[in-house]
Amino acid sequence: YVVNRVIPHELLGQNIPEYLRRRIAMQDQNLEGVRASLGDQVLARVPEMERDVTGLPMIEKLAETMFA
Amino acid sequence: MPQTTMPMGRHLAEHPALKYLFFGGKGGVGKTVFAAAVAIGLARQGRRVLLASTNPVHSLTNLLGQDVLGKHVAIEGVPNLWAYEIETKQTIERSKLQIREKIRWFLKFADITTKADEFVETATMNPAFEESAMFENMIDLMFENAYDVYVFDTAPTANARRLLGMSKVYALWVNKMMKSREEARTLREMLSFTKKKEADPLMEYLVSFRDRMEHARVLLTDPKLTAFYFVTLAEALPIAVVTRFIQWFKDFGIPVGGVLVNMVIDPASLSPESADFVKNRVAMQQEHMKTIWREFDDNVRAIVPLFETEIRGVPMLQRLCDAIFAADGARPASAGATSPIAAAAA
Repeated sequence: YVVNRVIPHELLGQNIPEYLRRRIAMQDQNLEGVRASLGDQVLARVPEMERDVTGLPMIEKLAETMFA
Repeated sequence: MPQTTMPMGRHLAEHPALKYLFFGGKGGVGKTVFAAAVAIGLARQGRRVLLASTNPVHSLTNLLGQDVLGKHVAIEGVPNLWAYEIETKQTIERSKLQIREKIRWFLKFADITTKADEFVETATMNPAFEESAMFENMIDLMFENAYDVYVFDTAPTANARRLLGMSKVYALWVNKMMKSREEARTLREMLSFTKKKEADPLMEYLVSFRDRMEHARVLLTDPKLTAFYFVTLAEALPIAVVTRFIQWFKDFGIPVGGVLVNMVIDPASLSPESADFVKNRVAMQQEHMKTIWREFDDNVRAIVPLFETEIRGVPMLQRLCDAIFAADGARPASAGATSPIAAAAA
């Protein structure tokens, strides 16, 4: 399994709107659910990017996060 | 900043006879939650609403927290709203039996001594079979006419269009089939000693099938009764899908109700200190919003903010419903004094 569009945790240390903090908290809960039910079958967690993935450079960036 | 010239609430008020509302779009954009939220909005107006999923991958049960698979279930906390996930398994089994019967009859009619089973397998194993079973279930619901309004959560991709477009295609090939059946029957009668006219169950089936499809086509292409809504994000791929869908639907004569944009971050919520991640995402979304206004213009029905959690359960859906119906069209669709993000985060 690959988990897509995970908002990066690092953002919590930065100036982000309150709703984004809550989304990260919600995401943590759901990721815990993913871990509990799928465990080591999760092959990669792909972060939510700063923009949508179109074009080769963004696809390469995405690939790097998966093969890192 | 462009505005929604015809927001969802006013659009629905101006189409009071709308009975069949469909929600489509790329996977993951929020079709199901938007279908549910609009269904809630219509139920609030006192109309009896059935929210039905024709998506083979159902999410209503999960979204509503009530098991609605294969049965109409009244939704707790929302008077006048029922939900239902169409279960294709039973339909497929039933269709298999019917097809087996028809093939047997046909083989007998044509004096062919082959087992029907192989034919049945070929006829029912292809993916289009499930699709057409879903379509038949959907139009059965529409014909039953037991509710005031039907809101359909459709399959994400081209299926939705194919399902609806199918009625046209069916009519074409059924007519062709009927012609060759008629020829076969005439020949058989000429060769028969008794010259007695036999009942032809296959022909009867084809005629009733064609009539059903024609009935469906009439309903689905009537802009007073039917509207197809598209949900998108302010991102390139979902917008491209909607653009393509709208063109297809126009070609098929299926009325397009408009476009609803999901998960938009209010630019007014940014400050110079905001994290680059957020700034960049807002910039990206605003770029794509330009395309949305250019492509869909007066067809934009709502711009809905990114909420602080995912939308699940009736209370969250009611908030989404408020957000969709809130816009009166008089104020800018994004930014402004009543920032949707501020409201959502409150």
